[in-house]
This record gives sequence, C-alpha cells and structure tokens, in this order.
Amino acid sequence: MTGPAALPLSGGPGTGSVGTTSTDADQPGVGNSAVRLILRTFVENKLAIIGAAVIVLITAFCFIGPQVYHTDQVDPNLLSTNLGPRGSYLLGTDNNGFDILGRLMIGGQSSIEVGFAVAAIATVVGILYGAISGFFGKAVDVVLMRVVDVAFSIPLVFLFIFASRIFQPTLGLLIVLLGLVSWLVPARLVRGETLALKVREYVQAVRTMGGGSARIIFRHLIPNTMGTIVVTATFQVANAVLILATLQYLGFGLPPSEPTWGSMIANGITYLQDGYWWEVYPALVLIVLTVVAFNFIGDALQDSFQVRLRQR
Amino acid sequence: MSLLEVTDLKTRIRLRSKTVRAVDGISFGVSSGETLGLVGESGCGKTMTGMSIMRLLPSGGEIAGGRIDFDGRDLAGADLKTMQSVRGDQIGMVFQDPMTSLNPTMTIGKQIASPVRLHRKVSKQEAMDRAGAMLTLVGMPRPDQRLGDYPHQLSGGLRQRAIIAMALACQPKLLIADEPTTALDVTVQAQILSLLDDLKGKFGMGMILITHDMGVIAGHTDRVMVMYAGRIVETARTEALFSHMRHPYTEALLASIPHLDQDKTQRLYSIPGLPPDLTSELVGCRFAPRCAHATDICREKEPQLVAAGSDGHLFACHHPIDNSADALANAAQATRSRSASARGVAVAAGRAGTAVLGTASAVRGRARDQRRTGDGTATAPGGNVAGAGVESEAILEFVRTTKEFLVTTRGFLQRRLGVNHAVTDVSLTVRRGETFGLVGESGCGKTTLGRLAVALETPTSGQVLFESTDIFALPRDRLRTVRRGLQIMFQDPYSSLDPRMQVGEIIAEPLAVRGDPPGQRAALVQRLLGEVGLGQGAMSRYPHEFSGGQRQRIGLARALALNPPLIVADEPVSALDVSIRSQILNLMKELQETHGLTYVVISHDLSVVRYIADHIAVMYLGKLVEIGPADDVYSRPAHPYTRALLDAIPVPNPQVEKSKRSIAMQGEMPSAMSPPSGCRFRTRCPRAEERCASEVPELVGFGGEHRAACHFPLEVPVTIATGARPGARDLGARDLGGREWGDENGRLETGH
Repeated sequence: MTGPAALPLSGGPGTGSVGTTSTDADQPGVGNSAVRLILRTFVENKLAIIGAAVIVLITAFCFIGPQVYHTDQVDPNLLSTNLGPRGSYLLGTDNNGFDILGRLMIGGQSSIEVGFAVAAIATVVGILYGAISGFFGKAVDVVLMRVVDVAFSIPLVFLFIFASRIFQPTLGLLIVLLGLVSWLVPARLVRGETLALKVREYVQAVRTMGGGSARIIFRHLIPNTMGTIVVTATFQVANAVLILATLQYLGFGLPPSEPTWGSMIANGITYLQDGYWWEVYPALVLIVLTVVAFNFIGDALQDSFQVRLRQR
Repeated sequence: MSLLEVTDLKTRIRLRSKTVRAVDGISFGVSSGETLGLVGESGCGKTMTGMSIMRLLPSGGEIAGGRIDFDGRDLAGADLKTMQSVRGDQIGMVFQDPMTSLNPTMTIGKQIASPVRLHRKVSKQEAMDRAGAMLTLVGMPRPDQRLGDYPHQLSGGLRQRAIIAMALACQPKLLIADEPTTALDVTVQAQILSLLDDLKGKFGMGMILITHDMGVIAGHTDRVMVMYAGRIVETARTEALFSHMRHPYTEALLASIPHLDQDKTQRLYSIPGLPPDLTSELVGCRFAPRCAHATDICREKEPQLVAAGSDGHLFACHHPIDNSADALANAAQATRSRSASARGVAVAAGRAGTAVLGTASAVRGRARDQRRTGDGTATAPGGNVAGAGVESEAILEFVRTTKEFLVTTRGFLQRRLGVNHAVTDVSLTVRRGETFGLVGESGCGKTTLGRLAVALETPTSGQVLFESTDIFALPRDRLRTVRRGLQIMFQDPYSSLDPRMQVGEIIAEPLAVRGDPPGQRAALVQRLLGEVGLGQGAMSRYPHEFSGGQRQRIGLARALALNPPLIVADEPVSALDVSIRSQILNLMKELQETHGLTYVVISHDLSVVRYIADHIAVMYLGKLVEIGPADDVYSRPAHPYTRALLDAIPVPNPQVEKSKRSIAMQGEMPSAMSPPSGCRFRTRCPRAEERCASEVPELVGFGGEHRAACHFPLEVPVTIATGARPGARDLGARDLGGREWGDENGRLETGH
C-alpha cells in the first residue's frame, strides 16, 4: 500500500522475532530493551553494586558457611563459655559455649529466610489489595482503605506479645505475622499508582475493546506498577530483617534453640559490661550491613526506573 | 546596535552517554520594539535558544560557544549573580503551560509582586500596588480582587495573563514568549497575542516569540527565523518570508498546514521522515534527507547562510526556491503537486473539479463517490460492514443525549458541590462512510460526547444509538460485543499505549479480547502494521522507541484491529508537529477509503476538521449551536460563535492576519457548573439581547441540513426550504418509536 511516507524503522531487533511476540505472552513481561536500560543504570550505581555484593556474601556466609566451618550449635559446652576470639573459636563463644561465628551463620539463615518470605507475602498481598481497591474505587476503595488504616494503628509489639502467648512461635508463624503487618505499605503505594494509571488512555482503550476488569488489572495496571513494586519489595526485606531482630531482642519469637541475630544480641548484651564485645557487635554489624545493603539496592532501583521513564 | 545580539551561539546538552547539539551556531539580533518569531518543528532548538539567553538550560546543558550580547553585557559568560539580576528584571519570560507556571500555594498578587520585590527597593505595599497595576494592564477583570486569588481560581487564559503580568512587572527590555498560547483555545489565543502586541508597544520592549504556528508568526512578528536541527535555515522580514521564501523547509512547513480554503480532495503535503538526531555528527544540509530537491551536493556540503536581496533576508540552501510568485497559495499549491509527483503518490486527481460544494446533496454525491473508490480498493477480509449499503444510513445517533457529572468533595463522606452540565440535550446523526467533525473550545463537551459514543461514559438521559441499537439499553455482555464496532483513537500518543507492552501485543490485544487464537493474530497484526505504514520490525519493540506520529499510527492500527465501522478520533493530531499532522490526516483519509470507515473527529483545530470532515457540529458549553455540511458551515456560519471561532484562527498570511485587528470574541467560556440561562453563549455574544437570557434558542434551518441555534443569526433562516427540498433523506427506514423529534429529513432536532 502506498502509505504516506512509511517511516523507516532503523535497526531494531529485526523481523525474526515475529513468532515470539504474536504468541501473546501471558506474562506481560518487562521487555528486553527496558530491562537492559534499567540494568545499565543500576550497574552504573556503585553503591548498588556494593549492596548487591554484600547481600551475596552474607547469603553465602549463612548458607554455605556452615558446610565449611563446622560447629556444634545444639549442645551447650559449659567448659568453654564466654571465651574471647582465638584460634579454635574465631569469634569466641557465648555464655553457653556456642561458637559465635558458627552461630552467626545459623542465626543469619532465619533472618534472610524471614526477610525474603515476608517481602514476598507483603508484596503479593499488597499488590492485589491495592490494585483492587484503586481500580474499583468508590465504596470498595473506601472500605478497603479504612481496613488498612485500622491495621496500621495496631501496635506491632502488642500484636506479637499477644500472638506469642497464644501460639508456639515458629519460623512459619513469624513469617505469617510479619507478613500480616507488612503488606499495608505496598497496598497503599499500589493503590495510589493504580488511581493514576486507571485513567490512562490505554486502559480506556481496553474497555472499548470489550476487555474486562481482570484483563485491565493483571495485564495493564499491575505490570505498570512494577517499578514501585520492585523497589518497595527490596525495602520490605530490609524492614523485615530489622523487625525480626527487634522482636528477638525483646525476647518474642523463636525459642532459644533457634538462634537469630537479634536473640544473640539480647543474649550478649548482659555481658557487655564484662567486656565480652564479641557476643554483641558481630551480630549487630551483620544486621546493619544487611539492612543498609538492601536499602542501597532499593535506592538504586528507584533511580533506574526513573531513568527509564525519563528516556521514554 | 540592537538590544540583543546573539553571535554563533552553540548550546550542548550532555546526556548519560551522548551529547545533543541543541543549538549549533546561530546568530541573530533583536531590536527594541521589534518582535522576532522563532519557528520550526519540535526539537529544532527554538526553546533551547530562548533558554540559552536566559541561561536556564536543563541539567547537563551548557553554552559551548558564542556570545549573547544584551544591553552591553555578554550573557554567555556572565556569572550567576549577574544572571539573577538580569532575569525577571531586564528579560522576562512567558512559558507555554499556564497550568504549571504558577505556584499553586501562593496568591497571584504575591507572585506578581515577587520580581518587583527582588529587583526594586520597594516596600511590600508598593510591590503589591505595582502587581495590581500590572493586572489592570493585562486586562484582568476585577484586578484588585484577583490579587488575593490562588492560581486554581483562574481559568487558563486568565492565568496566562497573570504570568504575563509577572514577566512584565519590572518592565523588562526583552520578553521571551515560548509558545505562550499553545495550551489555550483559539479565541483566547487571539486575545493573549494581541495583548502581547499591545504591551510590547507600550513598553517599547523587544520580543522573541517562539511558536510552531505559522499563522501566529504571520500576524504577530516583524521578523522570522526558521530553525531546523539547531541551525537557522532562513530568516527574513515576515512579509518577505511569506511572499518570497527561498528555503524548501520553510515552504514545506507552510504547505503542511491545512488551510481553511484547502481542497479536501487533495492529499495534504507532508514532510517525509523525522528531524535528524542531534547527537550524531551531521554532514551536509541537515534537511537533505527530507527534502524533495536534495542532490549530492546537499548531502556532502553544508550550505551557508547567504543573502537574498536586501533587508536582511538570509537562507541556507544549495537549491533555493526560485519564488517570484507573491501569492502564498500558489507557492503551497506548487509544492504540493511537485512533491507529490516526486514521490510518486497518486493524488486523487480529477476530484479537484468538484470544488467547493455548497449543498448537502452535492456533498453526499461526493461521499458516494469516495465510497465507490473505497469499494474498488477494499481488500479487508472479514466482511467489511461499510460500503455498498444504503447511501445515507445512520450509523450513530444521539437522541436528546444529556450527560451531567456530579461534582462532589473528595473523601469518605462526599458532599455534593454541584452538577457539571457537560452535554445538554444533544441530538445528531452520523451517517455511514462520512467523517463527522465535532468542534468547540475546550470544556464545550465535545470529548464527553465522543466518549458517550464509544460507551466510555453513560448518558444521564437520552439515548445513543449505534446501528439502530441503543447501546446503553444492552445487557453488559452484549455491550461488550457491540462496542467492538466502536473504537477510539486518543489524543495523547504517550498515554494511549501501554509502555510495558510490545507493539505487537498492543495491536493484538483487541483480538485477544475477542478470543482469536494466538496463531491467527500474528498475520493480522502484520497486515495492520503495514497498513498504517510501519515495518514488521515494530512488532517486538516498545512504544517508547517510537516518535509521537508513529505512536498515533500504532493507536490507529489498534483501533482498526477489530475492523470497526466507526472510529472516534479525539484530537488525533493535536499533540503532533505540523509536519507529522498531515501524515496522520492523510493516513486517516486513506484508511477511510480502504476500510469504509466512519469517523467522528473531535478537535479544537477548525482547519483540521475543515479538511477532514464532511459534516461538522459546533458545540458551546454542552449545547449544540450549529451543525451542517462542513463547506456550508465554514462558508456562511449562522451562529456568532462559529463566526468567532473561524475569525480567531491565525491565517499564515501576513496581509490577512495583520489586518484583523479586532478580536473576534472577548472573555472565556463560563463554568459548566452554572451555565448562563437562555442561550449559553449570550455572555460573550456581541449580538445578545434580553431575549437571549430568557429563551433557549431552538435549532433552525439555514438551507439544506445547515442548522443553528441562535435568536439573532448571521444568516437568514430558511424555514420551509428544509422540508421542501427534493430528494430528502429518508430517515424513516427505521422506526423511531413514534417520537416526534425526527422530522422527515431532520438531521437533528434539539429540544429546549
């Protein structure tokens, strides 16, 4: 056809990919070029690389470490309590004679597991809740958001004391409880984005095609909030690690047989006046490192997504 | 020596990995009391030139060379302190968007007073007095009360007046106005531009008027500088530029605007391609890739500015146009035919003889003509609904449609504030195969009407009939199926495509919604891409990789995917550059013929609608004020509002434009929350009398299907002729349920 000045499309991924696009990928995936651009900006951010490296190292330390550095974290050794760092105990021992270095590894496992699991739960629940609230609006929105307001006003510590009185604390229970309070922030953020996105013309175009609400929410609204979602999820991990540590420090949560960084600090703080610094600071440093690393990554992701938007 | 003398200015903007040569060695001057127009496509460096003078470049921007001599100082090398003392005091600036140029948390008075407080040693009270005086000067009604108002309390036009007052509060020697009226309606645009002219005379200041609109240039500048890709391609006195243009780009810019007297059967001239990427090293003439006259020398050697005659007319071209014709129309005509044949595009020849058609039957005759050609070339599978059917069958009808929006406070317990009367009692008929234009100022309800047509809004009362079915009486799942025949093309090419989807998925989405198996979609998507003039490579790319015009093509392809008989195009070209506009308009016309489409084109741009529409309806504040065959309405408007709209369009002809010194219409449209009683236009109407306030005017006939609702029309009503016209359209093919509204050939009837 004699199109008026058919504009030449220079370069591009070529025609070879016709088959792949037309199969209507059901995951509205983030595409190559977009991902590449985001990654490029992310990689250019030095703090982000440091953050990512720290997370990789800590994860390796916690999960691969115990395979290399064998310690007994089950039976107390009352013959070697509160020993300072030395050849046989690289970071000394605690008041039960457990090797601190080995205990940091085991303790970190639960921190990292809880962090990721809570972030996953909070993000999924938050996305769905926020998207539904924002998309349907009106009465639905009013009711759902008031629920969030109420949930926000429940004191966290009280909730956990209450729960630990009723249930036997396990890792699973902690994840569920932390998940229950963490989805509120993503829900609010996603709802806000949805409100702005749902009036976009491409959403209206779906309506004129006869497309339903599910298609709009899952194919258009949620993928377009991905930037916000990824960023909050990252901060959620850091947040969960921090809350877990706080709770453990206060003595709510897992039994002493399951060490965490928080409970190690709580345990060691009693002996700080005796100068047994190795029982407190290593765990503290690890908590701070983890949280800071995730925050670096989150910040960098935020910048990367903004760059992509700017260069649209 | 002139007030401002720019010499070999070079502005660079450093991006992450590349550098944009936004302004690449330009020299010009502005004298006191003179207006210099800067014109060109977006991205050609107009705004960056203005920003360089103010030294307000975006981050990464720097002046890489040249001098900016202003009033005895070189601003290019001046330090921040000097610049701060110059900005707002010596040089004022007016930006494009009045909605974002004012601080919403400060009163108008404070904002106007702030430059005075900054640059003059005066007390708060004196500064406020000055602000009041400035508001009076810019024609703000009740200036003393307005001082305490916040920006949101003012309309767009009044805000722009406030911004001008702020820019001029210190009596600057130079005013830079960057697209000062682009965001405003034509009627308001005329007011603001003449205000700027007035003030320039009063203050004796120099002015740089940046615009993309050749009409604005023609009427309000003394000299013009045409920019392309960061360089000056032609500069001359305004009259000389329009009568003796030498550069093909200048000519092309002018030729791509549809004129009111455009021959509608001709394709619009459009500049092929896009402006070059300014981050790469450019060799030769920058316009050469898009120029019909380009030869080898253009691609190798960059032309320098040379003088054409006296009086400072300069141009940079190896093959300048030998332009002795003084009439602008001839020049444009010549370009059009020359370049059309050069590109081997078959112009719908022979149609030119049809000329301007006054009567409805003649228009219909031509419409039939078009449809016949359409059938001949139609290859669309899947049974195109349009075409051979009944000649004047109604496809879309509004029957006394009213849409009111409840305005409430936000939040939990919503308090009702009032009712926005967006569309009031509109009845009209769109017939199969035609293009129906809806025009009016922003806020007149034309977009709401368009959204009602595609069922994105539900009417408060009345009906919308599509192919004789009341779409709002249908059950939900039926509506979902029926609305596939009603597609929409949006205004904003940036928000109409999902940025997270590949173009292939975007165009295939309507098919997926319909439930086509994935295997079938690919072939259709490929065909659609070809039809809108995009290559297959587009499929796996993302919207952000395309230009605005290309995105509009993608939007059009998506709208076409379901093979709808009707497409509502809401301001389809408003967001595009003039050169791209004509490409899209041509494409729309072409697709109409091949697909037998019916268009409802909504636009504030009367020349666009004039070019594309067979029938038009003019709306004012939710009411239909005039309707009829496009040629008829444009050649003899009956309603004073239509007349005013037509008069306000800037014509790209200095003689015509500068001779119209009276402003067509004062004021702005009142709020739709409390429309005036009687005739809603009466508050701005020069002919209004007492009767207009008490009695709502009915639509009366002015020959053929031409109708207008006015007590004191500009033309003599023809009361009997409508009924007596032979061969009247048979609307009775469908039973209208015994309603009285549809007289035998009534294209529309509006109630009270």
